[in-house]
Amino acid sequence: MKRGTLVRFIIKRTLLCIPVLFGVVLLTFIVARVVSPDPARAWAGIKASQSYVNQLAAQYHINSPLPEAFYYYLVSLLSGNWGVTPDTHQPVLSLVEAYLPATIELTLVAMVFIVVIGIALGVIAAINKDKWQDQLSRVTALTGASAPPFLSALAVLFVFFYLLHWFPNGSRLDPTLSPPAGLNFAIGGLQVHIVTGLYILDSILSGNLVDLTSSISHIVLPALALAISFYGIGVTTRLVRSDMLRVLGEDYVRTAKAKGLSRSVVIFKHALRNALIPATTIIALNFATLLGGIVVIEDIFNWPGIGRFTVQALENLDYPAIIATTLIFAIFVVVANALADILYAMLDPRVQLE
Amino acid sequence: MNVCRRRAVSNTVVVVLVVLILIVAAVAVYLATLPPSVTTTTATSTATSTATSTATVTSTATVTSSSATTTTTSSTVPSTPVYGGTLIADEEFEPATVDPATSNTVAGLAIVDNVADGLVGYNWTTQQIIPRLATSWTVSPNGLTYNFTLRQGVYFVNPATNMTMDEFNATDVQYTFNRVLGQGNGYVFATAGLNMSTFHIYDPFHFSVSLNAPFAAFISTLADPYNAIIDKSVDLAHGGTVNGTVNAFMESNLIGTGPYMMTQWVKGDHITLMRNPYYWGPKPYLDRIVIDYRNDASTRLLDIKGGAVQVASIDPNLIPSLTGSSNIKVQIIGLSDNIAPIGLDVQLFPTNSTLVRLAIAHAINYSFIDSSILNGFGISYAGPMPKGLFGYNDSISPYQYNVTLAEQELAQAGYANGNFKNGTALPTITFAYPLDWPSGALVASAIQSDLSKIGLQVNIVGATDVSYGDYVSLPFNSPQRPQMLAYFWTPDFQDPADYATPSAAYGWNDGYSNPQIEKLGTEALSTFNLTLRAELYSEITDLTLQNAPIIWNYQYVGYAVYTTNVHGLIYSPLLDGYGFDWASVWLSPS
Repeated sequence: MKRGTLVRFIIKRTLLCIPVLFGVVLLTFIVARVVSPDPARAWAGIKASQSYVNQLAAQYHINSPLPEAFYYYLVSLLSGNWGVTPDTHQPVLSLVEAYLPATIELTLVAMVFIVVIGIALGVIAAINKDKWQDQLSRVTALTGASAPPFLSALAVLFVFFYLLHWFPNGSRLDPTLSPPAGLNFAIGGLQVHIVTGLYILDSILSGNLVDLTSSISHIVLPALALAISFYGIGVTTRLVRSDMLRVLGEDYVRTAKAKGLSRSVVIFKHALRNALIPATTIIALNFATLLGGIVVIEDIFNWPGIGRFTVQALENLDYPAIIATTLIFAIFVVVANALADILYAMLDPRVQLE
Repeated sequence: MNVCRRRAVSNTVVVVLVVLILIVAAVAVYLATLPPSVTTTTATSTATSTATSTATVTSTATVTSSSATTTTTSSTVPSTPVYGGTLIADEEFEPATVDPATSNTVAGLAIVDNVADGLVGYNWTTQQIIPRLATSWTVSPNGLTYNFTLRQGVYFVNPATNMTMDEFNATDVQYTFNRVLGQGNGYVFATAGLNMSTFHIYDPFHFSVSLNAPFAAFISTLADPYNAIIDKSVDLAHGGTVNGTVNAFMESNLIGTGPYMMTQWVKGDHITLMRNPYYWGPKPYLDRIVIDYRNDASTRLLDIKGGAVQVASIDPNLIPSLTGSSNIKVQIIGLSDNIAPIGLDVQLFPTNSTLVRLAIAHAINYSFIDSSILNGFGISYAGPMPKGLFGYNDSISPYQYNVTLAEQELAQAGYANGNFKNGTALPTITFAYPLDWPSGALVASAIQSDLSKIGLQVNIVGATDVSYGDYVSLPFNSPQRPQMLAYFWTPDFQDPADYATPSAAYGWNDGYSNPQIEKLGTEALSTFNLTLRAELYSEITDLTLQNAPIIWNYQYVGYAVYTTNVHGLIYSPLLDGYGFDWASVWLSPS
């Protein structure tokens, strides 16, 4: 594949995200304005005074015609004004900024579990086809994929926290510790302070081993619960297994075996690399799918991420926050889809990009 | 060789997987054997309070269940409280804010009560008002002017630096009172008729203030965490507070003079309180308290069973799951000020008939609700005041379950067996309840079933916050309004005044108006003689029971679930479920 072709494809695919995101924004706008009979009251909260409701109605152009109101809504979104939560009186965007890193960190670690465990189980099942290892891997994968997230979460918590005491019961850090400080350095008298909000990364950047150990031990259970829920480890296992079985029967694998290459070289270098192409796209898509389960997982593990924020917003009927989190989840899905397409194009030269 | 090694690794992984599956299966079996969400449980309790430093726990609670029995009995504890340690508590709801002037959740006010001081407070064991930042006060003979003497040598403490800030004085009180009056929680002072134009500072530690009319509960309102004193200069340093708007810094940070400092709030996770080393009162025992906010009931249960936390908010229906946990106590430690009444709309048919309302009141099987649905964590009471509060008259009997009497009353009203005289059935009564009412659906169903026994057909409707708000805001004669509306009442301050005046209390939002009760309520507010005042409230109780504008249904029973190394938990009826006076709590070495 020519490099220029790929770059053009990436640009095209990225540009395609724009109308999709526009559609998402339009939908959230309709949800916010049309579904509720009194949007200003919903945004202000039921305990707000009528004067505050009127103030909000004027501020967000709620009584304007829909196209005009949509224009102002779009301008507000782009200018970072996502509203203020009626309960905490904080700007929604600043709350999203506070909660989002925890979710990203949890999702990334869950992805690591999915990739490592899912591929390992898939390979074991494929090379032991129809043996007990294969059956066991498949049953395990199917059980994980079938279990609702709350059950996986409670089971993981029950086993590894309650019974075995191997890991703590959630939260991002031991409550006696302070969040890691991130990276601090000076360039020519200018003090630079980098905090990502990803505790593991911030602990490494600040060289804080205590925080690093604590944040890793705290993330294991929620990440594991997330990884075994939905289409995580289970689906990855099944996909890798079936693709491995297909590839192991291919001529080039037989050729590699005939050349006298060791079994591990045949499996890992020749078979697995090719079998992973479809799995990779599914794994990328999983990043967005995981967000569906993250609401429950974060709630159960007291993980202060966007999922827990969503639950609180729903419980408090915090309209601005509900709309904001809907938008965030939608953006995740759109971006993950685009990434999956791009990855697939990069990995599989047979894909027609034009 | 490679192949052998690969197989060895693979087998190890597979063995691990087998173990995992077995464990998951064990979990599934465990979960399947958990008691159902509601069990037929009865409870008997002795509602006394715990001693802070005595040798034995004075309260006993026995919870028996068809499937499980949890018994907590007196146990010997170390006689000398121990200083130090970290206590972690699981609670369900996270505060939205910790600004005393805007915080309207019990979770937020419970933090405020431990971090900031009011002028007065409560000794929750005796339910008596005690001095906090005010050491003494006098009331003028006409009941209008209050003179206060303030505590000296008290400093606000910066939790970030652990250093003292400004010395507390009367200007902080004036600033706090003015500020709260301009904010959401100012309605309590507004109800009391606080007149800030009369606020006069004699010197930094003496001031006086007047009310527009006598309000005997004024001192009680000062014990409300809404009115906890903040540092004037801290608020001003962060932009001050404009009436009706909020100060973002004050919403998330609380700097007070109380026994603990709020040192950390990780939103969505926990709040950390550290002992205030400069506290003017007795030194708090615990070094640190971490309040973990965990939404999920099962997680809270696992947390305390697994020893991760020492105190946990456990739903009543999960109490039987604690069976066999010898290191966990379930203790009834007081009567809550929270009540769960049902307003009967006195302007809508058929609840506009007193006899129909009385029939409803007598048709409900209260003991079934209290014992079988609430597992003993609810009791019947003769409202408007809850049991245990000043003004409650124990000699007045609550509504009794008496189907025969209910049938007679319905017949006297002209609707025998729920029918008009021509034999056609009465229209269906709508009974709305808030969806976040714990066990609300079960209680509503039980009442629906009870009323059907006397011929009244009831349609129960679970209402979300918004639709519930819509119901409340509808005019009383609106046909969209339900005839029966369940609600909670959590008082703003510990006084009958917050319960017993129909026009003053939101909870009487049922269109009921009784000039006699209004008159008695007003008279009680200007009566400073406690005996006379209590008599007036007894009269109000009698009148409301006779007219039945509200079914008092039940009052919550305060209980705590904690590990056996926790001592000195004192329950605050005002801050039900969250309001522990952490300064008295200590941990014995495990």
